[in-house]
Amino acid sequence: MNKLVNILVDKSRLSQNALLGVSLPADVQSSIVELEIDRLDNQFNLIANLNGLVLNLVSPETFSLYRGKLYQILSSNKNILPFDNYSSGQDVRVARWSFIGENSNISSSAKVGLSTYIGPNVVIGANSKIGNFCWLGEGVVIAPGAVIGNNVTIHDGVRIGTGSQIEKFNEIRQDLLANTNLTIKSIQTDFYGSTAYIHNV
Amino acid sequence: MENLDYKRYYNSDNFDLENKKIFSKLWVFACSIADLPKHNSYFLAKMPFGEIIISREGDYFSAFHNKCLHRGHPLVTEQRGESNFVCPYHNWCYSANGGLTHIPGDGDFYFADKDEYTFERLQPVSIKRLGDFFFINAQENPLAIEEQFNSEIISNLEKTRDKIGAISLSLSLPLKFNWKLIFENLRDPLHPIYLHPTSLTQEVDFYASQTKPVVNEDPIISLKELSSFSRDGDLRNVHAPYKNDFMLCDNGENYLNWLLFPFTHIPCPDGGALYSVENYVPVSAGETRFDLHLYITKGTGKTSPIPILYDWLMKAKVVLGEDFDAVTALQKLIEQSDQQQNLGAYEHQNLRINQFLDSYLYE
Repeated sequence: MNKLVNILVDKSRLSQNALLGVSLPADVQSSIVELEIDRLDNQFNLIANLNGLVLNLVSPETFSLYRGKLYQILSSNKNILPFDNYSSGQDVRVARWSFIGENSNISSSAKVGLSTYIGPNVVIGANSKIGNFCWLGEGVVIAPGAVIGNNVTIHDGVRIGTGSQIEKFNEIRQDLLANTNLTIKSIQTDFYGSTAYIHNV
Repeated sequence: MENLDYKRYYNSDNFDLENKKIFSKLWVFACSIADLPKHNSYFLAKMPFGEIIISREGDYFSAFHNKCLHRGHPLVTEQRGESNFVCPYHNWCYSANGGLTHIPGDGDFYFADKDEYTFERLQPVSIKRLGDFFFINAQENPLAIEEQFNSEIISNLEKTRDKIGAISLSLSLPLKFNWKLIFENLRDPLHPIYLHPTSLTQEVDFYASQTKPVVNEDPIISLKELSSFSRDGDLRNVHAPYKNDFMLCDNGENYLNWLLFPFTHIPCPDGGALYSVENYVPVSAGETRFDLHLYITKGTGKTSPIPILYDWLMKAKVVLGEDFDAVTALQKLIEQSDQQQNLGAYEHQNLRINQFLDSYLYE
């Protein structure tokens, strides 16, 4: 149960180096499992018999389509345990199944939720919080004290101002660095008294 | 100007004829592959001719009435679920394809022989897949769908095959108007510039609607003339930067529009990624249920589809709210009046369809 499983699908762009700075317990062996993923999904069973802890899924950006399914299989396999709150040397608090891109800088007092993708060259400031299932594109900047809700998408290069709050399900395309303490409310699901539902998330 | 009576919008006798001769005879939209995401899932579609279960067993899709063969109790009440049907009344069991598999106490209480009753099936409904969309027909031996929809409609729906992603949005809203009124509104090319000056008109160029109409006065002789597919105008502002991150079923340049008689409207505002299926399901002469399904094609994963669906929902909410308010107001006054409506030359298609209904149904 001491094996660390990195699922690597794209050695060309985000290699094991994406995990640089991760300090592993001495008794943990790292194992890289290469998976070939296609749209027929017929390769997913390959990982079902693995043992160990899963730190992360290292992948190209397009891999997120399949991450949900991989998480489902991994979490249903009793031989595979999530590796929570790993230490990156910077004492970053990142929840399981999340991915940190190359050259990203996350403050030691920041928190990152479950299954969140953080692209390369992202800066996350002190005391900020990133929710679950978020997507932060390349070069995103989250200023100190900002709170990003669950399922938020922030596009490449967008900067979120100090103390801002982005509530769940929002998609941010516009640079908001100049706006401090800005609150963007959660998307409404009310439709003239009826409720809209999202399926198969 | 041409006159039409108002009776057709509130009279229950007219509605009964429509149900018997139109809704129960023609192909209607039921759901998409996104509503049947797993290899043993079902979707419950509520239609004027009954509640219909669309069920998936592997890559085989079937449709049947949500009605136990024993006493007619509904098998399911949830809109989505697993295709493992057990009637809650006496626990009769059915397979995913509607076959009767087990009757508890079959020999003792029913004197039924399992070797014989397992040939029984729930009352079937015809089903046809066009692209990733499923249409159903209440008839066991229906007309060919090619008799109802022209080749342009079908071929453009077929472009969605294996492209619609699993994540979707849906809602259902009761509305107080006759199903025909909202469709006449949709076929009215002039109303957007007056009713939607700050919403739809800002996104779609309705220049063509302001030109002198080419009037077709010929009577409708084919069912195909009741439905249409169009590219309503170039997108004025192609504000769909997400498009590169999703599979496109068309060229990405046009506002695609399917108007499918009797009650389905499918706008695709970004030229092939986002499909908004609006089903205006007739409930009674003065009531319609609006079932909205937002589907989006499979993506690369670079952009989450969820904010895109919500973004479109909020845009559609404004336009649809303007339409619903106008049509609800029409219905209210129509029911208080025996007068006639006056249709202009530009409304020739609405006139032709009403004349078709007059000759086929009402007279």
